[in-house]
Amino acid sequence: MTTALQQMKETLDRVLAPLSEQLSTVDSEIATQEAELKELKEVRTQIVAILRRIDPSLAPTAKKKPEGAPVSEERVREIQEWLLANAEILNANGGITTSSLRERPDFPFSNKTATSKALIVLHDRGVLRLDRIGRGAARYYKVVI
Amino acid sequence: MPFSVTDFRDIDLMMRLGEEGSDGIKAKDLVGLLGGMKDEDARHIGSRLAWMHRYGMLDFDPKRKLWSLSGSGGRVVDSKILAAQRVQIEAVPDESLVEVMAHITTRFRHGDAMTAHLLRREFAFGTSPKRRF
Repeated sequence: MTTALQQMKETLDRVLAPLSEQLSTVDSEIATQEAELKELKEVRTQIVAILRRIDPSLAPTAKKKPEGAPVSEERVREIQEWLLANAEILNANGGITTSSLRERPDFPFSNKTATSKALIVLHDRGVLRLDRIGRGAARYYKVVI
Repeated sequence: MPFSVTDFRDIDLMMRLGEEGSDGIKAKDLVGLLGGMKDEDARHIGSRLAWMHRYGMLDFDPKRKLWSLSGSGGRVVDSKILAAQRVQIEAVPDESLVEVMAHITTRFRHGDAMTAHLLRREFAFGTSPKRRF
């Protein structure tokens, strides 16, 4: 190694040494601050938990699932009339599901969501009874005759 | 497979048992008819039927392990609301429903125990968060 190169390396080392030391100091400071932040967050969690126990209104409320439009009373009545008119055939075929109704060419309503909701309403009202739960949680209803 | 009061109403199960005739049916056979496939389903339905028996809706033959409708349970199944009565009920305006509810709660308190249990469980079914859409 030439003298000039040697000198350049020594100069560079002199410049880098304090920077490396400074980097170590900064890293150490970050680690300290992160530990403090973690500790502060844990304390905060504990305080929030205590506050929520004292005042339940501070507890977070579950986000409501957006509800679709309810099925109209008119549509429920139309489906009810159709089901009652065809009750014996439907029951003899093992009951109905939303899908099985929509597959029937004589079923006059095409909206799957409205039909599904109408079946739930009609079950609530006792027009339908839940007969069994099939594969994929399909609900088979029978018309109460 | 859920067999709670928020899935199958009591009347659903009672009508199903009514179809099986007066001899009755074993819980493990009933669970198959209702769509249950796991071993635990039979336990769930057995527990449900036991409660319904305790409330007077069902009879149980311990020797043959057969469940059937009780006399009063059978009367509930047979008492289908007439179309004219249904129209009358549906015609009650929302504002008057509180008064109707007062009649129901009076019957709940002073009527027979089985009907009271049916009403209470029907309320649980109808107001379950699972029923909201």
